[in-house]
Amino acid sequence: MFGRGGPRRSDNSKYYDILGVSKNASEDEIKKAYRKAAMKNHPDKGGDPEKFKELGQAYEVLSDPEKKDLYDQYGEDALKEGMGGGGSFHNPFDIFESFFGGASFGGGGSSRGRRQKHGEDVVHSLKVSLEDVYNGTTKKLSLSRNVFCSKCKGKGSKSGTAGRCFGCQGTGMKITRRQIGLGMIQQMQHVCPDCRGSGEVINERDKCPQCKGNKISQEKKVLEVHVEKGMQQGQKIVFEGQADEAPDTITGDIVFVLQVKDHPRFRREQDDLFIDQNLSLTEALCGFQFAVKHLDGRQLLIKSNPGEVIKPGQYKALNDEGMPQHNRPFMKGRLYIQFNVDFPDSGFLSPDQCQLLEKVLPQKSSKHVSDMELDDCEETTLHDVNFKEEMRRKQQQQHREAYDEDDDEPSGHRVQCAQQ
Amino acid sequence: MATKKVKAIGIDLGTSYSCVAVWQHNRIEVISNDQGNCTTPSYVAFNDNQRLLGDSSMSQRSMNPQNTVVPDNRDKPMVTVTYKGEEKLLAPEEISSMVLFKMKEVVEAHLGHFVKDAVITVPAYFSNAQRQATKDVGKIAGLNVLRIISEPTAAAIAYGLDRKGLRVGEQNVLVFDLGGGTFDVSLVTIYEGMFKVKASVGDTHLGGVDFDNKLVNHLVNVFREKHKKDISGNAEALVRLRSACEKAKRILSSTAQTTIELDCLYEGVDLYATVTRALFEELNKDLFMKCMETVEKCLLEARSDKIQVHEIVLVGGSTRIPKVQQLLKDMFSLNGTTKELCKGINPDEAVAYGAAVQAAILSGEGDKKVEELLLLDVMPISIGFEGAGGVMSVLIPKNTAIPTKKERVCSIFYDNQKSLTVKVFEGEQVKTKDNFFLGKFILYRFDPLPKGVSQISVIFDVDADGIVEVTAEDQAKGLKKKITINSKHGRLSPEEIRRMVRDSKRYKAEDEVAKKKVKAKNTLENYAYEMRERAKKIEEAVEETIEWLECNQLAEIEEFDCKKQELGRGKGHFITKIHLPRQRIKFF
Repeated sequence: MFGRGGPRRSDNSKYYDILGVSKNASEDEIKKAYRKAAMKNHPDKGGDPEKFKELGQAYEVLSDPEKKDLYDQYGEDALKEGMGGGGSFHNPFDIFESFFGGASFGGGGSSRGRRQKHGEDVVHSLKVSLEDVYNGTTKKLSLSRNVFCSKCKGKGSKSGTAGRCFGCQGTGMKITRRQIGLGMIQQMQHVCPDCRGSGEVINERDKCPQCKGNKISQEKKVLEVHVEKGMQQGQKIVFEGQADEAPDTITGDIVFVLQVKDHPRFRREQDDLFIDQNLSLTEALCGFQFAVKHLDGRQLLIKSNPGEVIKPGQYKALNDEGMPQHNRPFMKGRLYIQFNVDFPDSGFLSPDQCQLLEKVLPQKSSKHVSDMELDDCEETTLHDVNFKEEMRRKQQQQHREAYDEDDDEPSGHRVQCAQQ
Repeated sequence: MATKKVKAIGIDLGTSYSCVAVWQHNRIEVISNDQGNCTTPSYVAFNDNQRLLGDSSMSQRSMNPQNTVVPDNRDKPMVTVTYKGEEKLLAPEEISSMVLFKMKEVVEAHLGHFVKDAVITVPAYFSNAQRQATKDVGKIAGLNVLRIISEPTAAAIAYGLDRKGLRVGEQNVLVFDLGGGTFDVSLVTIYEGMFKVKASVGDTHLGGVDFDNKLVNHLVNVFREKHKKDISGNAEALVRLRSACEKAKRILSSTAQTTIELDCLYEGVDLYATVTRALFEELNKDLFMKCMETVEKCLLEARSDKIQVHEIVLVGGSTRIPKVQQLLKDMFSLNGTTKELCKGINPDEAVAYGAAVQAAILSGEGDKKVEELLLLDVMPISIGFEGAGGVMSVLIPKNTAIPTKKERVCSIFYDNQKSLTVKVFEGEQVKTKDNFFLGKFILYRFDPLPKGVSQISVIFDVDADGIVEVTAEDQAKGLKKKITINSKHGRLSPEEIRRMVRDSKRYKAEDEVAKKKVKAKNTLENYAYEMRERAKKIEEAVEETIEWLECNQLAEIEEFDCKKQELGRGKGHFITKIHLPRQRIKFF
């Protein structure tokens, strides 16, 4: 009726075999066996180092009552994962933004183990505009999460006790066998559906009426995320202990990672802001005046100094109109304006107008070609060309060549592990 | 006469004193140095003429304080000395190698043949890099280091070889090691010949030197109050005072009171002070209590109770201080029963003794008793890798017996993560940034998968020499990457070691030249004195003959000839012996 897996014995027998003791061996017997085997297998005594390492691992587990229990129940793999038993995974977060704007992603679930461990943090992106970090703002996010049932305090039952699951004998895992051919049997291990991997089951009549034996209930909560002036791209806003609650687990944090959207006009570099401005040739030579709408809605009048000539690519700076510094919002960086000059097309000047203009402009550099030199030169003709298209075509060609030798760039992501 | 050559020696390389022992005549013998002492000062001195090692460096310390150095295990500074009129910059490894060289000379002088292989001891808290640095030191000194072992383990071996150590059942031995510069407390389990450190706690800045300093500071204050003079800035005066305080400390271990008398200590003023044991204990009360706190910490780390400690072994000269012994005895006396400290082992020799036992085991010498012993080497410091949030994930805890192998299965941290960096750290702090970084590598080209789905195995493998190999493997795809954390890379590069080996040989050659010079000088001096004595005798004979002539003007021809022959006979005798130049014959 209830499956009891014979082959599972190998998963939690290896250490006993290594030490040469039975599963019922006492602590003293285990210790004696280890001493004897270690004396024989240590490299200093001519033994095999690999064998000695196995002995050390086996003895460490079997001499520690807690680890021994874990090993006996779940085998070697559970110890490698630093926790006991398979957990069930679920996605408890259902996050949506109350205001129109950036979307947040659903977070991963946290697994439930049968011993105390740190729960997973839940990480979300929080999309904000540049105006939001310039002015500061508050985003309200509604989420639902698992919390301990307030009625039974996370025990799942009225009486506060739980029984062993008959389906899996308290291990949380079930083994199913299926014949997939003549003489071939496939064996699969999966979470026990009766207890959902916890190994415990609660009598129907003893179930808590509020959480129905689940120990946890859904809590809807509104988080106010304060985006402060001057916050940086990728900066984290942490809500400690607000992730899923689970038995025997220290509740993790909810972490929002700021994602600042690109702005059509302003570009940020740390505490400074940059904008581009196009000028006509007349404006560049004879003066300009224009208005810029800032991120806080103010209109800034940008005006040239009399007689000043703006060159293509030139920068001008305005003090205290950059980004606020985080934690020091009254101090701001600079706003830089980079100018580009639009030249008129050919033909806008007649030859006569050209001569008049030449009188006003600075004198040409006197590099006249002498008649003698003229005889040596070969006459040439200049052609119109669309330079941008030429560059684009070349880049496409280079791109096609580069694609053939594609290499992944290393990233510095870290290992995520539960603590042993 | 030794019928068999000793293959390997054991050396206790201490901060203040060092000691060497060998397995000989079916037992361990501690070797005395050329002054007849079983411990040799770990000092090196340099002067205008030569380098001095051992006792001779100690005796001239007060006259040459700036150029008398000691290996500093604590802070590893470079030291500048003046040698033959030149300034030289010395690494701590170089100074330590000179001490080891001296110990090698001591044992070779005793045995009558060269030795090469050695087991050297280090404090228990030494990291793998520090142990490798000690191996480098041995290499510079011309030794082949078979093994580096911890001082408490060596001391426990010394105890364990005693008959009591072979008692049936498990013995927990507390090794209380209070030396000149460092302090260690360890709990070692001995079980049917197997020795293993269960816990080890130490203070790298506590030892006999600190006790001396308390007395020095006290007397500096007394001198100031009495004579209105401050000697704390005068190096020569301080060295003399410290030497006297150290001597007083030793005397106070066996008597209740002593005096310190230093003539003309500073600006013509004498120092005369009576020091009592009670005063010494009062001055050092805080330090003694600190020692006891460390003992408590060790028991806590070992998860043992005082009642479970069977023996307390004292190591290091400072354990002779009566107050230290009293406090230790009181701490372990429970329910009215008095705990006696193990005093059958000489505290100065225990560590070298144990090192020599291990040397005998590793070199295949020793008798049946030694063959039955096994020393379980352990990881001195925990190692692990960096987990989420910069947390130190310990894979191999401190005091794990080596060789060992540990595996941890992890999951990736981000959705569709494509690569993984494994950073290996050494230390006991919770955050990796507070621990010591050992190395790293990156595992590439994962299949894109959601977070938590991919399984990565991280395996730490430590061999018998403490070399750590770290492997990360993507279980699904079979990707594998590894790094060897080779603690062979101590602080010194191979080029530096080779240079230091050459320097060491040059120092040795120069030492021998200096010895020959001294010998030649002594020979000449003796010859000159002998010459002077013989010249006196010649002069007396000549005077005697002249006197005779004055009184015997009218003597017969035969008498004159007889006197001449007498003087000539004496002259010839002198000429034969003295080998004087020929022209001097005329004179006579």
